[in-house]
Amino acid sequence: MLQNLKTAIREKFVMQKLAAEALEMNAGNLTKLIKSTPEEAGRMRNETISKLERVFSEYNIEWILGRSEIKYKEDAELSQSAAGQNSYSKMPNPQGSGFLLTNGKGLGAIADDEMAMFDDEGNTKFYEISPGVYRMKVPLVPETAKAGYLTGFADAEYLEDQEYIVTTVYKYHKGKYRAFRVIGDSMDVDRRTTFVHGDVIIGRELKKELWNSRFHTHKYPFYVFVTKNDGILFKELTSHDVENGILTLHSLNEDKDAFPDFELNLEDVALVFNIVKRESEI
Amino acid sequence: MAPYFENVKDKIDLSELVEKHLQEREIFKSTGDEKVFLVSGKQPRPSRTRLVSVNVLAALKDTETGSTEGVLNINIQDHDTLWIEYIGEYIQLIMDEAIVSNYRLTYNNEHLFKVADGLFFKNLKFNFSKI
Repeated sequence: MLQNLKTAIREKFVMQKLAAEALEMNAGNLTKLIKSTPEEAGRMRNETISKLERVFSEYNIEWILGRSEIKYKEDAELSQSAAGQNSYSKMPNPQGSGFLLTNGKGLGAIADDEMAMFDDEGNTKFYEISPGVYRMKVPLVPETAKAGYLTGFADAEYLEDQEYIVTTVYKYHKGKYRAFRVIGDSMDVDRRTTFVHGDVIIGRELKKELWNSRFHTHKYPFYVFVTKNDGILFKELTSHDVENGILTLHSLNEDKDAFPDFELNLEDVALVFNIVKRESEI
Repeated sequence: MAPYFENVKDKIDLSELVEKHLQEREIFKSTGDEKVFLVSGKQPRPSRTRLVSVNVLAALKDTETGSTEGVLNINIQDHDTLWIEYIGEYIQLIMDEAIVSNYRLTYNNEHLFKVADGLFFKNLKFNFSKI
């Protein structure tokens, strides 16, 4: 049985038939697909695999087919990229001095001797990979750490153990950045600006002393709020009552019964991150 | 190739049927401070509190078998989480395995959200199928 496929369907669709519709197969065939044995999964038609890759684009197809422990595609790519870096590092340098640490194909991986930069507070690491193009290394707040996020956040050792997301940027960004993974479908809408379950978003922390100024609601209207009691919220900010510290938050999902707009008092918030980038697969 | 499913969310009247089904219960007939505002999701919300709204989240008709299945939301909003728990439990008891007109409902799951300072919202999900 393809247990991981079943899990992905449950995470992404409210009913299995919606998954069947998205996969362009009838309900019976999807049930049969889920019940596939490992041998049957090994003989799966390329067309079916392509459909699974398209519909579950944020998941690692090998995980869906039960052949990998890495759930998300991005993590799988990072892992492959890191493995690639190791293999390049073992390539002998034709010029005879030790080993080549990178080559053109290895841009996704960061070699130890590349130029690294830190911001004024020593927070975010940058690596210059070509003039004016940088790779920025951002700590990923893991799903499992969310409940304990507030207590562990300032702990340097804790951060050392964290997963990182590496993203390409074209200018030097100051400030403290964190990456988050989107959970659920509250921000999923059939428009260009959508955030689907599993997407990785990168946010810049807005220091508390700036909370008395009006937050952006036009160019970068998406925010992550780490609340004191209710976990981490990712929403669109539609208005900011600066005087009273009240934010009006909006979910992109058009099902307003399940995801109504609501107000959040900044007194209930510990950290604010303005989302500046989304890493997502097509 | 004809599609395997037809989206019939806007063609079925299950939210109105469930609203009427609930309206027959004593608890939804209370007046004054005890009044519960029960509406179908297609109607405007008459209140921010003591609000129960019913809406069809998804409904698909299988074009091969003719069967219709979907998901129904019953949402409860109030400032008092105890009341939300009480009414949520009550709705789950009377709607799980209920047959409303020609639909059978089965309780699926529920989640409680904080929507504003002192305002909470519970979403109950029921799977349904046309008999």
